[in-house]
Amino acid sequence: MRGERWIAGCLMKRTRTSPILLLLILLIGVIPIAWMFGASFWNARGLTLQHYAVLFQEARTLKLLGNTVALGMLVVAGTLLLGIPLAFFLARTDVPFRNLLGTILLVPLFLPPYILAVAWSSILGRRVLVHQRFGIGETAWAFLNSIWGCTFVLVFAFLPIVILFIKTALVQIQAEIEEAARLETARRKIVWHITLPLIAPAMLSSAMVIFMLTISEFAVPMFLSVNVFTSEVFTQFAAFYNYETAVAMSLPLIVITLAAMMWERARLQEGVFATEEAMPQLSPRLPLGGWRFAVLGFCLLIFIISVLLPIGIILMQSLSFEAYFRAFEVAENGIATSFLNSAVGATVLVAFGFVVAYQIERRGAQHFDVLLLLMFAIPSTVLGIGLIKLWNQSLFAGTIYNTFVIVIIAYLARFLILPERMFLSAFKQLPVSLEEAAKMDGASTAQIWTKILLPLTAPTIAAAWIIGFIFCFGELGATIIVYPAGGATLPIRLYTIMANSPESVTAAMSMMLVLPILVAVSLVMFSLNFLFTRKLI
Amino acid sequence: MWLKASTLIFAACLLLTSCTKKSDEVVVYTSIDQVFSEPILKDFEQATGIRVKPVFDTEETKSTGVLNRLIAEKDNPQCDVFWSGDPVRALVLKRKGITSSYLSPNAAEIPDEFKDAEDHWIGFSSRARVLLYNTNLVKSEAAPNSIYDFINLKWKGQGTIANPLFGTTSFHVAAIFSALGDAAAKEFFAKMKANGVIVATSNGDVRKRVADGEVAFGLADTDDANEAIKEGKSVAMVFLDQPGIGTLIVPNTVSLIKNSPHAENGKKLIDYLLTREVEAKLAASCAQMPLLPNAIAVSGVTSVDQITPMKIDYEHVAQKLEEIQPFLKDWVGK
Repeated sequence: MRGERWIAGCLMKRTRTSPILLLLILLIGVIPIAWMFGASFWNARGLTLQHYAVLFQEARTLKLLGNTVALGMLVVAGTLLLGIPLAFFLARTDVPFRNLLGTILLVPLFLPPYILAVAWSSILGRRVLVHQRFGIGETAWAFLNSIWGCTFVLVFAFLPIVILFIKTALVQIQAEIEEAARLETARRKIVWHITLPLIAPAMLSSAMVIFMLTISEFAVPMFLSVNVFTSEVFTQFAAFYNYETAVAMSLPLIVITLAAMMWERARLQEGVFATEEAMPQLSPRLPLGGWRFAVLGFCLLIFIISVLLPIGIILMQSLSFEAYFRAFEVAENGIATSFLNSAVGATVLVAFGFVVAYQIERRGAQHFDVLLLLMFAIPSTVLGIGLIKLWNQSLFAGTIYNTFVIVIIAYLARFLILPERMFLSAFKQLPVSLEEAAKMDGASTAQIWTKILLPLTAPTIAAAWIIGFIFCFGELGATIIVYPAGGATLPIRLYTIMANSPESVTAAMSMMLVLPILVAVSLVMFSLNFLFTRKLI
Repeated sequence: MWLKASTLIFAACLLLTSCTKKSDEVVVYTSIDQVFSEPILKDFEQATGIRVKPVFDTEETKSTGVLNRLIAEKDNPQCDVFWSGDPVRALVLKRKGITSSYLSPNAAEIPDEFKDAEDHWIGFSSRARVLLYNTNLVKSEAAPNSIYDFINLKWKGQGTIANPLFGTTSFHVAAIFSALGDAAAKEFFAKMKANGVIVATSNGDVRKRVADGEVAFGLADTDDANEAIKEGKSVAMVFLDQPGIGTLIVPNTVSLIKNSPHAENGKKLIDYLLTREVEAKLAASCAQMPLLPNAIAVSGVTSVDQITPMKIDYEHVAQKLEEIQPFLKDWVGK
């Protein structure tokens, strides 16, 4: 019923969408994906549904889909349960070391979840001395190699996404609303009835992103012996080299994603999130009083589990000069390539994400959201091959396909949904009346954008750039399919040495993946804090 | 006006750059781990002055990248040479019409069983399948030495193999099916599952699990085993079924891509790879066994003629692999 209402809303809303933007979205992802789906309906004899038959032939398809959805929901529940209070404590209270914790807690996002799973297998292994002493080796091992262990690894891998989304939304809440409510009601009720509804779009968006990242993840479930549907899609590519069936098998994942999106949209339609105050003013931090150290304890516990243990074990494995020397040797120009690609990718993502979100929120271009979601939901290998099919034409082979531009296109197609979702949440919190009033006062579109929209969404722009940079830096699935010869990124180099390099070199290279991003993100955060506190932006 | 002009300039630039084909380079896609392949490619650059542009892939991603990329690029190839870690992938490409025949003069001395009858791939330096065991958990005199140890109740829950749908393990399983016959092989794998074999994600994962003592032994390639031994882990390796059905020899293969942009340079690279010097370098770096006779000796590397190989026809085993994939998919999913 709610879904129908949402669809009806979309149809009835008058849209004024940019055709250039639509064309770009089509070129970066939709046409490549459509190309792949088109091919899945063909065989040597013409039109066919034979590739889709595999979905109904195997009895375990439903069971695997069930596992996939269950894993997705468990990870979403876990990340929200931990991430919402954590983000609130870091953004709105006077908990000590909040800025440092806010940066360090992002670290798990810098590494591919598979590396974290490998690290956890070293921590929860059967033969770990501590476990053997307490006789819990088998129990710990059995836990890790189960859907619960898989959930555990992925919750702590994706937790930074919730923190970043919700912290950004909390920062954008205008102080006046909460202050006005405080005159009438208790602080607890304000959080429940005002703060939480205001950050609901960010909660839903982060839940959606995490759900999709989880259901598209196959490396961690495979490593932990958990059977999920996504592994089946991967198997069609990696073992059978059968594109058509692999594409057909992606369909249930897309249907699940679209169903989740309809649910999310229906929830968003129900709520009113925009505030009516003209200029934002940060709410004062909530004094925790006697609870300060209990809250700090909670934050530190999350830090220990999500960062200290897995990263600590990787760091310990890497501690030798020789390991780092060899890792640098192998990484070669991979570091510079990764930095350049990710910086350009993040900047382009933010620019596009901003414009697309504006079109969706203010011009009713809901179809952009569906297209972006489709591009995010599709397995990265399908997208990569689709990009080759479209861009490996004689005309583009030397300018787009064999250059770093194709990598940026892949980043855009995969991750445009992330900044778009963040800006969507930001625009929902921003009253339309501001733009309307400016327009009535004779402000031009450029003035509205530069004097109102960009300054008021500055925290989101920064957060979206950071998240874009992190995701671009770690992207592997599509990049390994399309990267130009000689232009391997750091994650590709890490994976290409994993099989036959000493553990210490692999660990050193993992640290090389973490440290540059940490430095870059810290610098961005520090500069922004500096500029905000001095009201320079 | 300006819009039209800039569109024209942009189109002209596209056309110009896309028509530029550099003659002093060669593009190679490889599933050989970068740490081993890159030094060889750099040596080739130094020796010939031809710039090598590599695309690496790895066992950890099941070589999905290069294989799928080569298949997707079929209509407009960007790659000249495919250097594979095993013959299966070369055979897949041959069947899909992506490789062309090229008989390198340096391939004359390579035994016929390691070459494609139509010269679509040529084998060189090889690996073998071995049992890697943890020396803290297993004494050398009691160490497992046969694939049948995976169904021995003595080792229940103590053995691991990489996912048999992928990589050299898939090829090994197909070779076992060829050697034992379908019925006996299916019974063997059912017993293996019942005996609690752990399915690891890759041979690298097998190596880690054995080295960490998670399991007592596992099936791996000589290079994985060699790396663990070099690292000083408490492991040792045994060649499989000596005597018995023998162990699988997995040669590297090299193929020329059909309609490749720099075919002549590609041929030069293939000729270079098929030399004793390259085989010696691969023997030194990852204990690969040379296939050319009178190989340059490298200490610590077993020669192919010192072990009993499985008697197989690579083309036939590749076909068998295709036949048994549905069985393997079910076996892994159970």
